[in-house]
Amino acid sequence: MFKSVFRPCAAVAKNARMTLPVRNSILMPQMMVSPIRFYSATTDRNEITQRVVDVIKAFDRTNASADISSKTLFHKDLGLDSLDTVELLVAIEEDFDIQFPDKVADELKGVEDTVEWIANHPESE
Amino acid sequence: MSLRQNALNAYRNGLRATRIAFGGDTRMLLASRAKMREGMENPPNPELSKEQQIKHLEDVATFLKRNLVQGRKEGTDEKYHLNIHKETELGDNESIKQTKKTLVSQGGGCCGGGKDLYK
Repeated sequence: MFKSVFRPCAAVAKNARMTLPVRNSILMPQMMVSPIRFYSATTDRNEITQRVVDVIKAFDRTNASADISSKTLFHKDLGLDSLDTVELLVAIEEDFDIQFPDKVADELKGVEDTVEWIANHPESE
Repeated sequence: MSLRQNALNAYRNGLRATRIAFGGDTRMLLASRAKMREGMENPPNPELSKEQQIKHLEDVATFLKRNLVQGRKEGTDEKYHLNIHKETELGDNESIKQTKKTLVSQGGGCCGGGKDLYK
């Protein structure tokens, strides 16, 4: 009585086994491609500094086309208030496609801190 | 953490949320950010406590991220491409699959079978 039930199952299983290798060969190329990740090569501190400075220059609230160096402090030298600083850090986040954790962001007072953190966290999101 | 830090963190999350919600729409992005800044300087609900105002901004950020989707018209047809992103809240009707509490699911209800039902 059960033979008629099991036989189709066996047939399905056999079919599955036959189709599997075929499907694998189709999937293979995709699987080969997907693990490759492209990291932006911004581990170089000078390059990061330059990008951060560019973002600051593009940030329209700074009272400065003034010289911005790695020693520049957001509040002291650029005259940014706390809200401006938050906005600037978000702008930097967007430029580098990263996200500062809240605790870190509170501590970033100037260009040097920011560059240092970005350099130490190349894969941060 | 101090109130000041909480407020700044909420503002930061709010700004991030506008990028997620209005990423491709510079006009809305700038407008929403300007509005948020204005709200930080002149709170829209001054009668609320500071904690409640911070909570309000956090709720706004969550709403922007999860419950707001922008559409862009494609071509001349009445067709829109919706910017559904990974933060968007999608209903999955998961609750409908849960077994209801019926007499039967608790081991029958007839002739004393339901005696444990109202424990």
